[in-house]
Amino acid sequence: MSDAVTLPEEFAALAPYVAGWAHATNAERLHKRMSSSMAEVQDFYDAMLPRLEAALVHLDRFPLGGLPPAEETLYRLVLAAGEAAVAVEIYRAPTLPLAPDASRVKVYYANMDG
Amino acid sequence: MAFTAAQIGAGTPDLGDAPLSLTPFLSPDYFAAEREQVFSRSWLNIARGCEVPKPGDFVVRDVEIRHASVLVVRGQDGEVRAFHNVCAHRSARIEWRRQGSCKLFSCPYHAWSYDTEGRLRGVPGLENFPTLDKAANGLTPIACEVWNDLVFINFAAEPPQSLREFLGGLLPFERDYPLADMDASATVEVAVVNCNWKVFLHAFLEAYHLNVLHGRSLGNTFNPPDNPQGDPLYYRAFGRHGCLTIGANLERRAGPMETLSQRHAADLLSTGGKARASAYEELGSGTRLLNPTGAANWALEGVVLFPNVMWLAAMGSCTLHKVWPLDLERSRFESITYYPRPRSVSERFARELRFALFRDTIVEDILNTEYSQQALRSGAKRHMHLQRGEIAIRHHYHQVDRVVRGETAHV
Repeated sequence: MSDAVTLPEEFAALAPYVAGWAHATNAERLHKRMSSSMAEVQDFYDAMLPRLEAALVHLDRFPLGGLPPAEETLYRLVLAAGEAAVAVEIYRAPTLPLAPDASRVKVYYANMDG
Repeated sequence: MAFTAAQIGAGTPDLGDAPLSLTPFLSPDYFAAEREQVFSRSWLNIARGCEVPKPGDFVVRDVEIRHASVLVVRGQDGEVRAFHNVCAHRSARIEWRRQGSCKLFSCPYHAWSYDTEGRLRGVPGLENFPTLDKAANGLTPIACEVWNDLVFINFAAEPPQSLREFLGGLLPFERDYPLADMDASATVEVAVVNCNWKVFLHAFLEAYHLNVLHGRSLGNTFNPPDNPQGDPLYYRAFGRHGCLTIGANLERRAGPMETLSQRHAADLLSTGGKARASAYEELGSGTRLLNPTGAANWALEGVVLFPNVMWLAAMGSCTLHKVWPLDLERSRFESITYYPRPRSVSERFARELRFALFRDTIVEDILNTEYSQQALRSGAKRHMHLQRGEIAIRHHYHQVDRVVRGETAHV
């Protein structure tokens, strides 16, 4: 992640989370969640939740698959919030109670990002 | 609430309540018979038509139990065909990519080339093969038919039954649950699950375990207070296939972010969404395949596509769980969830959250089934006991068994 990464101005407060959470793939987002402490996941979730609706409204003005760089970064944070939500709202833990080594599970998408 | 005969569709055989033998999960002879009788003669779902939208588009898929690498390609004439991915020269693997697009397939060993309709086109040094009949040495075809954008293959040289005959009573699903507009996908793949293929498939054929094994992730999702054991709303056999109707718990409370994700993506309704019943009116009107009992809390139809697929047909998304046998006690698992293509970031976000939760629930099944296989092998038990609500497992177990014991795989 380069130092030049910026967010849309009204979401500048999320800048501290970009380096850790703004990833391009589901696999990377999952890895970040699984390798974080619950406090870290909760902190990211708490930062995103009050801004999430505004972020969706803002990003929906742009075409999926054609986001400007700052919006692309915010988009990645929004998708990571979906991953954090599963940890916070469902499991109350970053990891699963009964799970094999994460490297055994591969995830890939088609036609999901515009 | 108990699961009763009134919830079983006509044409479903009475398979009783007897405990089941463990032999089908442990016997090498049984597995060999499955290879020859089940997987060599049934129609197998191998791909989606939307994965090969244009002429020249192809995917390569393994069917390990048949030692086969299968090339599925849309020819220049628009037809989808399947071939063994094997060169006529010295049986090299021709296409090594998992998917792509081309006009000619060129073997990486000696550059023999084949067109997208399977004809042998180029042989370097042809003058040194004085007896080679090019016309008779194209790619070896595998029977291939498409239904509802699902591509099926059959390894029998001449399948005694067409795909449509094989699907039988499931055919109206093409009208009632068209897949054509669901071409965005999220796939979970586990290269090796250390259990018999049926042990893993059966983990997806009942809702009895959802409140327990998946208590954190799916507890209270499919098990409403008046149905805590997750009894099916209905079960119907369609030949060797089956269809399991599962209800949702409409009282489930989603967390704030999940609720927000739903509000911004009306095309995707969570399994707890109260809007389901009204959306169902549109999707399911006039059909007796989706929601056959007209339940207000209908969640999904789980269609067991014989032999190795569980197709979860829900509102706004569907999943194909495919379990591919590697050997007697090892399987490969592929779970593909299809969505309508997201049109906005908020629709995309709703898919991300919903898929992340679904992915995790699938992962929860892995260790449990692997320990079960080890326990089956230990000899601790001689039988397993199925309750009546696990009827889809009992039906699948018996259908495989009948084919292994000599019935034709076809219906």
